[in-house]
Amino acid sequence: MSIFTDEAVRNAFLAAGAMAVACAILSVFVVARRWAFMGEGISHAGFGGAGTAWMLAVAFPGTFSDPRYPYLFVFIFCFIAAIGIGWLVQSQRVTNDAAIGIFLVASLAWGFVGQHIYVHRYHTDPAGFENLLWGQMKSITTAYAMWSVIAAVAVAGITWAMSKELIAYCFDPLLARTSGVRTTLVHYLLMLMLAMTIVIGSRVVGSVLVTALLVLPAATGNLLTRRLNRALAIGIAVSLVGAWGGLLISSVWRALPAGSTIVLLMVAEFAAALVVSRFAPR
Amino acid sequence: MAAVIDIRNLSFAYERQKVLCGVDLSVDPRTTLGLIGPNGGGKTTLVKLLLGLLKPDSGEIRVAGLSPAQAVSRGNIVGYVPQNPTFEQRFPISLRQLVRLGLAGKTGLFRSHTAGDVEFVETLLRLVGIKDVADNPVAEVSGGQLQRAFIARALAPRPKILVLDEPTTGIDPRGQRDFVQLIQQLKNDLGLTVIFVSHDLRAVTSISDRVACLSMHLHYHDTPNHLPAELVYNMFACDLHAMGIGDPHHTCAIHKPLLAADERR
Repeated sequence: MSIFTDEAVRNAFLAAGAMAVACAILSVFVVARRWAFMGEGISHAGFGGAGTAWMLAVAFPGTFSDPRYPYLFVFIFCFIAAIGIGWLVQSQRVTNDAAIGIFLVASLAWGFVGQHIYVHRYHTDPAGFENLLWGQMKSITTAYAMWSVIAAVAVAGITWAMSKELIAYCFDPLLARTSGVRTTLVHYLLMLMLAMTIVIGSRVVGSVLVTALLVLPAATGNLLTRRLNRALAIGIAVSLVGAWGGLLISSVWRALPAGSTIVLLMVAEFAAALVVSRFAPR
Repeated sequence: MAAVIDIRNLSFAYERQKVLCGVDLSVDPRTTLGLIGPNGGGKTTLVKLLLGLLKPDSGEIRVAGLSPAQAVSRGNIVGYVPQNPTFEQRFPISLRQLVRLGLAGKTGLFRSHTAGDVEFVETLLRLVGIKDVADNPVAEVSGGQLQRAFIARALAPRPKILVLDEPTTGIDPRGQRDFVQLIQQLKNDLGLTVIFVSHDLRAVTSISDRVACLSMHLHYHDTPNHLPAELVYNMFACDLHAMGIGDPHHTCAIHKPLLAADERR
């Protein structure tokens, strides 16, 4: 299988590369705001969306049997979770981690209810159940790959255009607000970019592991430098090496799942940076 | 001379706990108001109301003729230095970048800072004495340098008003003197109106044109020289050391009657 001749592999590399860049850019803000758990909450909300689609497939078998419906509901639930978590955090009625935890467990429970109802009715797991959890890199279509690229370009463009507001907000939200930055707009924009990236990235590495792409790039970059531009560049490089390296390895050794291999490669890069940072000045 | 801050009959409560009640206060342009009061007296709440972070239950606040929310949204009317900024210490930016973040609101969405504003940031870095370390990451500078950077950040959009919340807490006496001198110099150079919130009566009296004594109600608003010792003692009896009054070697005029009042009791 060659990436130059096999369309499925080429699509996988394109989608993984695009998601690697988008996630690396957003990871700077995710790590700064300590939102690692937030990514987990939003990505798991997608499981609640899929559960809803599976329940609807049982209730209205003619209407909701199309395997694309779970992904539509994953999109919807991730966006609702992003806005809901953002609203709860902004309103300061519950703490950050409590808000995320509530959405996470509610979505997981709802998703498993949907899956169990589906299994009870049809005596088999819903189509795409495993893929949703662990990704389905090798069945990515050309259209999906192109959407991944468009999403990555959108994330890069918005981040570039609003860099001063995003940096001010992530450095200190209160000070940003008292300086006249429209922090509510920035907050929800970040939430929406995260939701979009998580939804698309879930298909690449799975909803269980997508948080790794939103944490490891910036965490590794911050170990090696104290300069924002360099940290971003290192993050993108780490992310691309992980995504493409992981895909390549899983293409050669078919027993290794792509999503897990990507994440483990990025963890290895982080560990190497940890060792290097102990000896080299930043 | 129209007041740059005008507060009328201001009241505020956190749910059922009253914090401010019927406060009237005005601040003239290019003056320094020292805001003192005991813990829980409403100083920080008043600052939050001035910054539009809280909304009054009743009464009115005008900041440069605008509501606090409008004034803050302009980005160049109020500069704020919090007591303990809750910033992300490992965020990979330099002191210079930190100071430039103060321009974000003034510059507005999808625009770049003007050359004049960027140049003014360089002037501020020099004025507050951190030009030499401006390229150092925020994670690798001292607390004093960081505090100066936060002051420069607040001043970067050339605000009319600078609000300092407990800026001398945790600073040694020499550092406090240097800080007071720095604020005086910045006030004179930039034509600022300064709101100086502090427990430290020494620092407040040495810098302020007027002092406002706040403990739910406004108990006093006049020059520091006329601040009645009895009032201060009654309001802060348990807190004199925290306010820098317990030290018998103080030279500030108002401290002597305070200590005398203490001895009489």
